[in-house]
Amino acid sequence: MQASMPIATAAATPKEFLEVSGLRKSFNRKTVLFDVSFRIARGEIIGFVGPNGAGKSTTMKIMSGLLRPDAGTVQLDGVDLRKEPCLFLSQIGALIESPAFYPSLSAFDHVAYFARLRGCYSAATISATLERVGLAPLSKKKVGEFSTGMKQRLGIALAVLHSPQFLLLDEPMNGLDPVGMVSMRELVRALSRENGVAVLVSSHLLYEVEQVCDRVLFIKDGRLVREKRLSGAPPGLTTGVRLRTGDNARAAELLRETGFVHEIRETADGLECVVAAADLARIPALLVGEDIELYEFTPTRESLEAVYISEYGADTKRIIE
Amino acid sequence: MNDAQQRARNYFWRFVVAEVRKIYDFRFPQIASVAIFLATVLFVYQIFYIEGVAERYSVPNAYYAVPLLFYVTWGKTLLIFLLLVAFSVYCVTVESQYGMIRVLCAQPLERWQYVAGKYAAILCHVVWLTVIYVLSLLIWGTAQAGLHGITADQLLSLFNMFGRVLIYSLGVSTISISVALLRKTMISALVTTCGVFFALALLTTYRSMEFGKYYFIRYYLMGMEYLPMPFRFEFPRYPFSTFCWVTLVTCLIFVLPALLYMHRRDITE
Repeated sequence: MQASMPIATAAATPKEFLEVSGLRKSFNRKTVLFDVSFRIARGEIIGFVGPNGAGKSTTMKIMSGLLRPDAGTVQLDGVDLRKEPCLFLSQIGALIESPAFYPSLSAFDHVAYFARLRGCYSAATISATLERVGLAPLSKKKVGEFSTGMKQRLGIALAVLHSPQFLLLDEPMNGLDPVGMVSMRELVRALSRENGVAVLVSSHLLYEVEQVCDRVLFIKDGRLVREKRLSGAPPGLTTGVRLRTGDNARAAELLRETGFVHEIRETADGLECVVAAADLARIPALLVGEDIELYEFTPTRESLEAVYISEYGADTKRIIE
Repeated sequence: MNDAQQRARNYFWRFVVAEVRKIYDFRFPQIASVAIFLATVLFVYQIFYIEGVAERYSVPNAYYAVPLLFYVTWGKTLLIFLLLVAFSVYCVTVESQYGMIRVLCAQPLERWQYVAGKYAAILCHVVWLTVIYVLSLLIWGTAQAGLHGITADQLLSLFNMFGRVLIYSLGVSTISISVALLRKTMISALVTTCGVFFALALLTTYRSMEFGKYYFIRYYLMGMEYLPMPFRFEFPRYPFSTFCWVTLVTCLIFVLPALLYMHRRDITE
């Protein structure tokens, strides 16, 4: 199946909490990001998926101020990263690539350092932060003696220490055991649900992404190629319907205007959309009523893995061959 | 000052305080302080008991003993110089070496604030180490030779020298920090910094002593003309103000490119 750009969702979106617009980045004259744009609402958890080298970390590094984009803007609640970097960065927490620490300092020292920097230093705050990620018993142990999973937890502790409004997590599950992954999932959900924190999380663990994310963005060769909504619909959602009609363009326009179709995507030979189970029967009735011939109408349940393979599977096959 | 500027200033000073405390937590300053104080004893033992300098030259009090100790610890060996270089380079490159720079540069700090904060925090510790060093010279020099017959003018000369030692230490560290900011690993930063100082020293060998007063690197022979030395060097006289502005200008030559580089670079490590 050819990769294709997503068609905009049917419902109009209000001004979003985080807006990334037209990000472009090159290294040594090689462009690695091509006009990446997306939005995240307050409290939304967005998955960021793609193969190695697709541009996930580059996008996240731009959003955390580590890289300067060649073009494009990043705005958080109206605050532009380039114009007001201090205000922007004060509201975000980031865990980019593998967690980094000073080996000779303890977990307590690390949290204390960032607590001083953020102006929230107190023994109670530091203890509570370490407790939250399960590192309280190891607070005085040197980080050089930590396992990968412990370092990952400490990295997340530093990212959430100051109660940010937006969290950037680059492969946060790396090195975590199954219990740790469950804890991480619950922490991210709690931050989103209770504190309205918007989260952008990149991961190769598609099952984990499916469990925790509201939407997933697919990136390939520096371009966003697809967006898939995983939640926000009524219970019993049929995740996909495959349609083949006599006039796909007009059918897409009609479905977009209805308001009950959550997502529409044009494929090589038809349309794919997402609707609630209760609205399923309304689609053929609508199309036939508008004299649009309906050749195929197949409800599907598309897993994230299936989407991933459909987007990137050909590349993987080429590498193996 | 508007809210944004006030907020930025608050973050900057909090960063400086956090950095000072972090360097303290590394234990490097504490170990270096004890090492400097104890190593000075070894130099006292060497020059007064092994080489027997007091038997060949008159050392009636600390005014005569302290410059000898200074020359041996700084001029004859490069231990203090290398300690300052290594300490400064370590405090800068530890971020890149362990990847912490991508955590720190994602904090609410402008790049120039990050750089200025590093300078401020490291130089705070350099001041401390230098104070320990000059106190060691004074204490052990006094312990060896006493203060008998020392005049107020002689004490002022000693403090003049100590002031120059402090300025020079700050200059050495500032240059080391600036060069280290351009490198990403400790070893490469150390090698490059030593190379820079070596190149600076080489330049001075082809200039006359009169012109040499404008070369910062030569100032390790600082203040010698004020103090009695058993062996004579011919130095052009230069006032404290010249010493200060030459140090400042030399540092700016290195600081400005470092600031510009850090402001523009992408953090990829």
